[in-house]
Amino acid sequence: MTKLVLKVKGMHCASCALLIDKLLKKQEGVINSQTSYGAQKVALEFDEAKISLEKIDEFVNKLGYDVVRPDEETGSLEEDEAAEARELQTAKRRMVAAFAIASPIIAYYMGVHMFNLPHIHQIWGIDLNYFYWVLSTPIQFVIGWPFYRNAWSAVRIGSANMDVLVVLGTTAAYFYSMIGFLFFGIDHPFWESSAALISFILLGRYVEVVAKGRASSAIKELLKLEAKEAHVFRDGQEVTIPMSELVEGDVVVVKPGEKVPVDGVIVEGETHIDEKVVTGESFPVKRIAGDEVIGATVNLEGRFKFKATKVGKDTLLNQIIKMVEEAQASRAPVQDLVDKISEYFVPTVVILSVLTFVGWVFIAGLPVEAGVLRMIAVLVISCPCAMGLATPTALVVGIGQAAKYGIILKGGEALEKAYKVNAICLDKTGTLTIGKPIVTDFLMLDKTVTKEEAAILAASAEMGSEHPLARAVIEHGKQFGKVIDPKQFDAVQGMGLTATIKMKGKEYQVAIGNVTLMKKLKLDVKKHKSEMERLQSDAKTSVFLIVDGKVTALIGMADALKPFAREAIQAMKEDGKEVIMITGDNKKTADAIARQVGIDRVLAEVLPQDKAAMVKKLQKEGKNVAMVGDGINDSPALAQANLGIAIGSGTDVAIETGEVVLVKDDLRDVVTAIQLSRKTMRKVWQNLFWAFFYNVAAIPIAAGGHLLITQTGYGVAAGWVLSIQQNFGGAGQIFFNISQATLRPEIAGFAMAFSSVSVVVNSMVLRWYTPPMEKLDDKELPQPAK
Amino acid sequence: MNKYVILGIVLVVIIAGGVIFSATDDSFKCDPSMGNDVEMTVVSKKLEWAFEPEEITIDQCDRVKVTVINEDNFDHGFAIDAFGISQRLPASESIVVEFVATKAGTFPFYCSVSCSSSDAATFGLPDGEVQTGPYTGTVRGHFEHIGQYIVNIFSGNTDTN
Repeated sequence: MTKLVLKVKGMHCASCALLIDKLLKKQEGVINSQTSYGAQKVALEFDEAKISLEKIDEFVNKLGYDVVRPDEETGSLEEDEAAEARELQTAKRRMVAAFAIASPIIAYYMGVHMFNLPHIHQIWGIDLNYFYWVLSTPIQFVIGWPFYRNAWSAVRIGSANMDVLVVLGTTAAYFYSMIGFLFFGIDHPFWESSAALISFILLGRYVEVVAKGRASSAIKELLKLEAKEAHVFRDGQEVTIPMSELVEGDVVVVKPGEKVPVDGVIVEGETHIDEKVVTGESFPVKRIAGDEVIGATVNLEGRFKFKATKVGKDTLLNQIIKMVEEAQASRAPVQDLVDKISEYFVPTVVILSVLTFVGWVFIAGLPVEAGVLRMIAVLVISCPCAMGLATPTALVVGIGQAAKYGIILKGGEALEKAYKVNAICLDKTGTLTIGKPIVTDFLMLDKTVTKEEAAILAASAEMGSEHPLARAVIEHGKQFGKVIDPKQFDAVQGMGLTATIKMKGKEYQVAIGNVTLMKKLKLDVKKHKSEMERLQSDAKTSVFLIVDGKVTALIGMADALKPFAREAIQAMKEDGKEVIMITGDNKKTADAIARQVGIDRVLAEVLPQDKAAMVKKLQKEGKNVAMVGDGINDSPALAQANLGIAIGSGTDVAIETGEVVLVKDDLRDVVTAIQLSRKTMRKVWQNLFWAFFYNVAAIPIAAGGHLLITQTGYGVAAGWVLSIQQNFGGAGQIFFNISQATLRPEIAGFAMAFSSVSVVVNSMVLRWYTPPMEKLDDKELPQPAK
Repeated sequence: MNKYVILGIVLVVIIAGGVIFSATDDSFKCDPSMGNDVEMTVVSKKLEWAFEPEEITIDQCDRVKVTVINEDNFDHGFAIDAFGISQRLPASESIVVEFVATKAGTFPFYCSVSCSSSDAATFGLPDGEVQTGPYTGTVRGHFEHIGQYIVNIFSGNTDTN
């Protein structure tokens, strides 16, 4: 079975995506096909033994679209952009041509109907209708040709998309005008509805193309981050090669100011790297030999060499791009609903239009022309384009916006689940906490040496130790100066260590250890009991530092909270979510951490394999659970939860399992992800409302149904309408005029185009969303002890 | 089954239903043996936004042939919603409209084409002309350009032919 996400060319309407899916799913061997109009991509799942990709491409071509197969893929950003620019150009040209030709017609009818100008009937002795006929024809059949082509492909497979409606409405309007003018002397030819409607739809399409370009700019921005070339060692020579020639294992040289081309491990040199583009971390990080570097990050100062471990499509950046692409190409379940409605909408509208005709002609006994007029109006106004646009535009913008903040939402489904979440489970180690201990307290108990000297001595003594806590003391000491290798070192199993350190020409006898070591050294630490107990109650590990036989300092160490953990939890609670901590740690430590961050419910001493069961238990309580975790041990829980959120510093497995991936190691993004999802979903529903509102509200008016209320007989205004007309001056007159007229098809067309535009604009507003959590000042970052 | 086949069947049923409804509707219906042939002329008076006559009385089932004359040098229209009439009345021309007065009652006939108003000299009425005739001094326009048909209920075959 093969799973692929491919680009599709030639889609111009949400119905196209539906069409492709419908056709592909009928093919034997195609297991699933999810096409997204917004992303211009199809997510294919098929059995290669039964159907080849070429065959699929062929089928799609038959429909008038083109799947870009991997072997056809040029992959280059420039070409993608050029293709997009071409599409934009074509859409613009069509739109401009349509408006240029249609503008005399639109201007004339607007002048006459809106500004009450008298009809002039001829110029140079030629009836104006001839001009309109000449102008409308190329719009209808040349500029509007794609509508016919696509409508035909839709009809052929028994599907009905918006093109079918457009073709029905405008063709009817065109021939009605032509035949009516030439043979029947009708007073209202519909030249303008054929011309203006097509122009307005083309305008809508143009806006869509622009919007689509904007929405996918998130991915393009990511692609632009990639370095173009790399300096590598080949045969002992440093050569500059294009990225495509770089292979795994190459030793790459990065000079100051350059981008790191791919992912790898530093083998020589050290530097500071700005990793903001990938991790969102705003401070440059120090990288020394043995550290990992990420492609597309910027080397700020040093020159270093690294061994490429991941190249091409395997780099972190490309993985992220792929996830975003897949997310944008996948569909939210809510979309299926919209698509189903659209599919039924077309036939329903055709039936309604014929009912309108039958009602006026056979029941009200009016002549055929009067029936046709209202029938055409119904056909024209009910075009469901905005409905098809409602979900994809909001999702594309929402997902793109999330990506900007380093939040990868894997598809519309993730969005839809995220906004429903009402309980958030957090793993402790690595999620709430950094996952490695740091020195949180360094209490000086003696003044023989300065605090700085004490810190360096402690760090130097720990240089020989392999104890996990040693690293914390060393890191702490490094802040105050150069750490010295001890002259002599002894580890005392389960108690601590002793060492001899020569610093500034003086030799110091140093010991670091717990109470047991103190007892062994016959040192009295009873008077420091209260400090020790305070540290212990905060679940901190404490050791004493002894310099030359004097109790010099008490060092407290703990797994430190991640920056903003407290603020993030606070925001979750304010958002009305129940926050729960799940940890394998003992209850005391867990409670201490929970107290610090403000979590009320703690599930401690949970074995890794039981985490998923715990989530299940919470779900049984009726909760919609989001699980936030980073480790392999969290993966089952991530999968079990309604929404799995993998926090970025975690393992590949967790990232694979999570539906939401936070690239940055920042808990605030959990809040942002949920809030952004809610915003996006709200946009979807708003968009659906607007699309339905226009269509549903306009249809009865187009059918002339409002006359049942505003008129008491044929052409006789109702009493209440007359009283408004008489009592409200100019406004009353306008109301009267509108209430007595059936909705003209060009107004129908305008309303329809407007619905598309308002839906797109409504979605674009999401781009201005700044998560409140992001506004927290970085200065509030808790600092480790000095 | 193909959606279009189902759709086609439904549409045929709807239209057939409409046809059957109108065929089996046993309310009063005119047939060609009823009513008289009536001919008349209606004039849309030059720069008056008024028809002459404004009130016309006929009998139900009359076969009416109206000659409508437009004295203005811009377009008007002639419409009777009750009988589904909606015709263009080109500038300085006349048209002939025919209908059968199938319904009894009072029905407006009106100008169905946007034709400005007498206070619209600023909009460029031809040669700055202003309103003339009996309505001089009042503001009249498209929405005043209206008259009515009074159709008396059918009272027997009065066809003299």
